Amino acid sequence: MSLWSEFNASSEDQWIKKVLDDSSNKTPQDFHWKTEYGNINTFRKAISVLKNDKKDKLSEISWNFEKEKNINSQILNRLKDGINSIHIDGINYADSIFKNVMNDIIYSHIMLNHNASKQAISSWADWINSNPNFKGSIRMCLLTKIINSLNEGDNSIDFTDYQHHFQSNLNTNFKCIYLEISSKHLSFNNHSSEIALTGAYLNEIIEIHKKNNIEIPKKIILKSFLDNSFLENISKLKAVKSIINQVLKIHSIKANLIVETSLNPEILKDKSEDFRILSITSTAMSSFIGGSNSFVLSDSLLISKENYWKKIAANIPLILNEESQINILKDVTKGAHVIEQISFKMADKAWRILKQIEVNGGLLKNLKNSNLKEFIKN
Amino acid sequence: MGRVSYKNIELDISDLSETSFGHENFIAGVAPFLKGPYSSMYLTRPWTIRQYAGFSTAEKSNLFYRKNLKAGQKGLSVAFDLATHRGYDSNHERVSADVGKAGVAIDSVEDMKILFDKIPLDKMSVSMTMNGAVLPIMAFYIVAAIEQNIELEKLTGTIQNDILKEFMVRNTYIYPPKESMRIVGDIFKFTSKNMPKFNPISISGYHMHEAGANAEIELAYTLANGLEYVKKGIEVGLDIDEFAPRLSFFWGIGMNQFTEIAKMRAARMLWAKIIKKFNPKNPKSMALRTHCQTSGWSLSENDPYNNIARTYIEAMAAVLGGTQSLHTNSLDEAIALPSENAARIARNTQIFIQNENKICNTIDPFGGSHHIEKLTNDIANKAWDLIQEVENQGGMTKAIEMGLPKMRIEEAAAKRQANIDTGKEIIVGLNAYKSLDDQQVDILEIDNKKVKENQINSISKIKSERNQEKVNRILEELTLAAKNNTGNLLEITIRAAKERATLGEISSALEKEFGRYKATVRSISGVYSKEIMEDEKYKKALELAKEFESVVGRRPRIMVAKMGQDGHDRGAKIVATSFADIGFDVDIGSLFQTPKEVAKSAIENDVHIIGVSSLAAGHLSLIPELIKELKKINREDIMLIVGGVVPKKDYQLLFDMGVAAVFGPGTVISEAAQDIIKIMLKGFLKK
Repeated sequence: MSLWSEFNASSEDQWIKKVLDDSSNKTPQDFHWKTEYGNINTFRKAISVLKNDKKDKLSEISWNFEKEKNINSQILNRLKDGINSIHIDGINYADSIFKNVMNDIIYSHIMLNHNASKQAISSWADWINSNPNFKGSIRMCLLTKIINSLNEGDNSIDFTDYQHHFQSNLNTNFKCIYLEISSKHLSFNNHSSEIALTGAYLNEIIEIHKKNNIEIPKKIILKSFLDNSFLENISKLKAVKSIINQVLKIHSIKANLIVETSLNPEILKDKSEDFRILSITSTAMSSFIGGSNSFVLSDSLLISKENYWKKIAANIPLILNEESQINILKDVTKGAHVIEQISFKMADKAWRILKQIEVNGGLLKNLKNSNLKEFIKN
Repeated sequence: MGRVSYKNIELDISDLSETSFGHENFIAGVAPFLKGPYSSMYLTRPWTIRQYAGFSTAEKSNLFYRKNLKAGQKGLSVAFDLATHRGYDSNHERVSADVGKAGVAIDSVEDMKILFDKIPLDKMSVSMTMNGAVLPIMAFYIVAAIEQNIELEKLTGTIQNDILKEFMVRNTYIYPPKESMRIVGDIFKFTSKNMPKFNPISISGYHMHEAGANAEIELAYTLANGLEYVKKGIEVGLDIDEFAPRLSFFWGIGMNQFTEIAKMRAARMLWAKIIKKFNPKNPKSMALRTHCQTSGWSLSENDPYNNIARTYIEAMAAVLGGTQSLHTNSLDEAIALPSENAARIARNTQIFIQNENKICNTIDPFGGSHHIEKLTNDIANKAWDLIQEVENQGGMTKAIEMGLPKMRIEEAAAKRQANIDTGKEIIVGLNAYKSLDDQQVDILEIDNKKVKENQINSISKIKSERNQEKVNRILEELTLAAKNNTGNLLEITIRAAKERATLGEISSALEKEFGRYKATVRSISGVYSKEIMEDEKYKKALELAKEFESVVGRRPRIMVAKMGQDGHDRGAKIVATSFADIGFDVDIGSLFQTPKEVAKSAIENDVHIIGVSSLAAGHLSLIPELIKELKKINREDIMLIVGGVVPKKDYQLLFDMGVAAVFGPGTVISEAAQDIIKIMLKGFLKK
């Protein structure tokens, strides 16, 4: 017998009535969370929700390295701190980078420059191929190329480098479609715009692959930047995964979606070190709960460049992983009415935007015609 | 081949399939208050940022409070020193190491007036953590308000007054259980009539949490205590609706995020269920309102900056669970009282959550989650079974007298320690991911000598200026009322406070009749060893203990001692039980001993070594005293070690005094045991 049989359940209407009785001169709408993707009604139970895949545990705690100077010692320091994944960002291959790095245990993700030379691409590919136990990926951000070309007034974008990246002798297991829309590319007006443009971007990449006879890889890596709005971060991850999966389904593509999250460094401008620590903790927490596979830290998130503070930053996802019991396979957001409502509304609006972009010819055409002012700030 | 068309494609959605545990359709503001005691919760008003603080003198604490209020804190929470907790004036010989250290020293109403100087008590909600000496402290607060020309009906705040948990875990009781419950009843009667906005009790799980209780034990025993208080209120003639709406609660919030959220949700429902049996007419009687504090035990001394993240994580659990007010611990909690910078970060953590995380835009955001609802259901059911077990034994007072709750909590603590010591449970920076650098933090140091001087001078001044005859008369009246079970003890204490009776005098007047309670020391065994028997470090400690026995001719014998008024004994009890399992003979000293008493016990028990547990910063005054006492009786051969919260900068001072070893929080028990046996062997062989 239920412990609660002496109590009566309450409906949404009964709850709202109680709230209005307890307050004065208010309407139900006064208690809604007003957002750009719709009003969130905390009293309402979610009925329709997004279809989502099984959730993974977060398995990579990563550091992004952009500076070539002393990169090997930087890497070894971070590995000593406990991270298990490194991102080498825009740096040419050199033997010394991976000295004393156990490549069969540590994930290594190589970010090629959008204008990486054939030799640069081949150097990385050769190294990966010579390390049979290599774990990680090699990626190239197409959007940088597109934006740069458009800024230079070049409407016919040359995808030769991108083609080469995919036609290199690299083992297909490491090739991926890389989706990153950071603020250095575009500044979004809001979450729905970001999700829609991510979906549109994926669709554009797939169309480019098809048009240029580039084999579509089995791995999609999404890089998502988070701010401090905790519940919206979690919901955004659910929403963007749902949109991406739907785009893949439309193209009949079966691919493994991997989500990497990072704190958006833009929100840290002029902020103190302890604000940054709190922001890292908040975004790491929402990453774990929202189903991210990897949380990426970088030097740019901290004021201090001392190793001690980088260790403290690296400890944050370790503490969440080891001590808080939140890194579980179970999707704790499944059925959570408020989170389901937020992610549904975000995705619903994003889908409408995406459709509009596609009806108007796709992302590339819209960027060329500067048709996206409604969704982006620059 | 053209582009794929999106024109007629709709977003993939599905229907939410509901699982039912029987409670998902409860809301906030309506019994059983699953989602919160108030219908609109943070949508209307966020939780109160209420940082617990107090140290040294009332003047210094007052300055600190006013600064924090200016910086965004919305309510006050007062920490008193241990001398005050235990009913001693600052000039009492037993408390020389305790004055002003773990909180503010309050000896009279004059101190209380200084504490709240320029803080309008009719506008500021004040929470006071006081249990043992609750009568004088309440009285001083009330008189301070009266002398600010404030009507008592306007006072808002809380007095902890949860004496049952003192006997279970916290140990700052003064009088025995039955007499202490009488005080609780009198406070309920007085406040229900005269202070309708004041919470006369904060039924606390926090201290059980800190002592090692898991979620269902903390929940069950706290609610069982609450039930005992409700019965007391009824027994003294109050109608349930006269006092139940003002009962408040206090949870500890640890690192297990989802369990803590579920615990708070389950707590509200169970409390409503318990109170419903008393047929309240006012639905507010069934509403559980709570303060929370992030767990101090979960914070580490190593890499204290890691504690910023830990406190944030725990604070999130508290607000996602629907707390009404919150204290966030400082990063240096495991080292000393918070420094100004650490206190700032702790307070800012809550401001960050309120302003940046947008949590206040919704109610119970994880409500409906299958995982959370299952956890809520499971914890509620387990806790209910434990509550029934207590009730079947005759209620919580009886269960406490039998020692059952204390044993259960100590078992849970020993189990957990074993898991940490073996690495089954990882604590970052402690047993894994250790830092090679050691970033020191500035710590707050209290010059206890100056505080004592200040207090002693104030006490002398008060005594010289008051009407001594009036004071004596009222104190006699108080003793008689205690003896004959007549009158209201709080009402009489208020009159005594008005005439400037001191806290110590008031407490003594009651002690004359009630006596001062001395707990029976009990210990568990076998729990630690059961969890750790395959661990190599543990096996090595066992071997060394056997080696000691074969060399010396008897088992190593340790006395675990607590001096001063510090009653926190989780660490001491864990050491006692684990060392016993390792092969030591263990003597557990009574609480609140003086250095002289410890030295005497050590000799009587013929120990090799004394392990002093120090958590309240008394080490620099009490240890030299103990060494002096051992010297007086020619037993300098008895070795000394210190364990607990000792700032690293004091380690050398202790070594210079002759202390053989110091063990901070997070010490692995079996490693400490090995070190201690080696020290003892070395000492023995030297002889």
